[in-house]
Amino acid sequence: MNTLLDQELSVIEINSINSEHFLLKIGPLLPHFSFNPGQFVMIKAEKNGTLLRKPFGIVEVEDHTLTLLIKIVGKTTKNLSTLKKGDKIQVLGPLGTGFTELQDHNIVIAGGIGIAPLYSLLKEYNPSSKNQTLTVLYGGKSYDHLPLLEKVYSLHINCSIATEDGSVGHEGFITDLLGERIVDVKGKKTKLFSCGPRSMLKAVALFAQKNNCSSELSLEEYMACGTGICMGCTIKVKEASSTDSFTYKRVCVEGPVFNGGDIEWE
Amino acid sequence: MGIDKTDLSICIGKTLLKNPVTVASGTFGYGKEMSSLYDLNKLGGIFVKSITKEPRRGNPPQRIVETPSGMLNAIGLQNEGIDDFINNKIPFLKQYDTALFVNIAGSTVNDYCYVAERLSGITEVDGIELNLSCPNVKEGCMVFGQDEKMVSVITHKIRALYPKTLIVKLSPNVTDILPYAKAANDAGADGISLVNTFLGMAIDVHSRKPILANITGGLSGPAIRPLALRMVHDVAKELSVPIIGQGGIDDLESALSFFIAGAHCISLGTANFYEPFCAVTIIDQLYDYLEKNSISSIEELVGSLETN
Repeated sequence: MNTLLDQELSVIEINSINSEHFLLKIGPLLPHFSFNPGQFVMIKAEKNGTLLRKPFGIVEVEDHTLTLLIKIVGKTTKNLSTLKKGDKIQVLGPLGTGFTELQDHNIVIAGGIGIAPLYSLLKEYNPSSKNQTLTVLYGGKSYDHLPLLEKVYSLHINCSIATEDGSVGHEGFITDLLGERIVDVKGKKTKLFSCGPRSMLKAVALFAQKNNCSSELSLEEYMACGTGICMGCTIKVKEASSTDSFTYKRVCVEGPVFNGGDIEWE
Repeated sequence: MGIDKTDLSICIGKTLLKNPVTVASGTFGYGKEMSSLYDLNKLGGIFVKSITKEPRRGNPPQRIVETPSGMLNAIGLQNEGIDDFINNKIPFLKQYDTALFVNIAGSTVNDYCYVAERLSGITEVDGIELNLSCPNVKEGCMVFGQDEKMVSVITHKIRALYPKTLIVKLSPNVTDILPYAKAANDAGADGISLVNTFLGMAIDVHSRKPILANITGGLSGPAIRPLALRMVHDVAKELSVPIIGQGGIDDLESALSFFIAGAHCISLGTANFYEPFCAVTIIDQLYDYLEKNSISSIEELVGSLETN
């Protein structure tokens, strides 16, 4: 189990990817900070920060430096984008469950910034492995919505892309490509790992169910604490008991990674 | 060491708290999650999340949203029910030497009585806090808390069957809090928690929909601090019943202001979400403050407001 730490870190650098996305690198992390792919941190900037911390999936940790992928969507992320080297950020983590290990055959489906918590999982894969296969399917609205594409390419993993506007790769949804990929691995032990918009995750879960393979999905929900004490970030999960068809589970502690088959989709 | 001379302990009813800093119900789960961050023995007390007779699954999401200097929540009392609490939560909580208060809620008076009776035999539980103030459920709770007569009736009934410390948590969503505090006090409450959340709402102007699925929610955090402080003052100047002050406390100064206004102890709520170590930090700072200012006990500070 990874130790939960609350650390005050400094901004090391901010790497702009495009007008909407940037990589926030902060550190130095305590030497015993460790995490599983899929875990997240709750962060709050000291300067102009909002009241609550906000959750971000861990992209990677290298040289005691934590990298987060941020999309500018509101007050918090706008403020984070204006931070300068040396500015302080309070970081609580690692939090949540994370993904389990890669199986023999793996398909990783990412939508937009959903690539963030999946990236460290990709790094665990050895492309020259003879016993394991991994395919990345990465989709977004347009090329600009594939913020970690270059980083993914640098891992030399088989990667297919799709954009809704057709600016790059297949024109349409990334889940359109799932059918082609699963054919290659039918009958073998295939696992789907995914993070992205809720509609995409639902498509992945239903696809997995139809094709008798398991899926692990990282979900997002509005959070106040990240530690399980506020009960604010719940999602509907199928309930085994006879009295109820579903129950609410906390994304922050029972997730953010859930088995696709357990989720009660709206 | 001066610390030995400085007395932070305080009595609420039949319970002696080692220090006056507690954590508020609904903001600390049942202790387990936070125990991985710090030693719960440091706390003066823990008010665990509301327990009901039967399990409740709570309100649909979205349940929370941040607002200026605060947050709205509409969790809807999600909990696993009294049986699960006794069987699965008590064994964990009983290892800690801190006052344990169980917040109880229900849709009917009988529901409250049932849960209180079940808890009366649990030695590890020091007291119960009657939730007459949750604004996010359709029955019981705030519906009772906005009716002076009901506050009196339900407090009487629980008092008759529950011998240990009995605290009543009141809703601030009333014109004048004093009659409600009087009703609880006259009916035998040992302490009054002031205050629960203020009913509020937030709207997504693009979709023109309420942000919370429940439409309304309870506002907490520093945004409500002056409002809560005023209510503590309103009650403390009229009644001598111990008050558990709460509402946006997140640092030493805000903690001190509640003691000065008349609170015997304080509860941290929303701060547990954004500054998880806040409660233990305040305890240390409170020791230092009393020492530096040659105040020998927290009781000297309680109600020390000078208004002339």
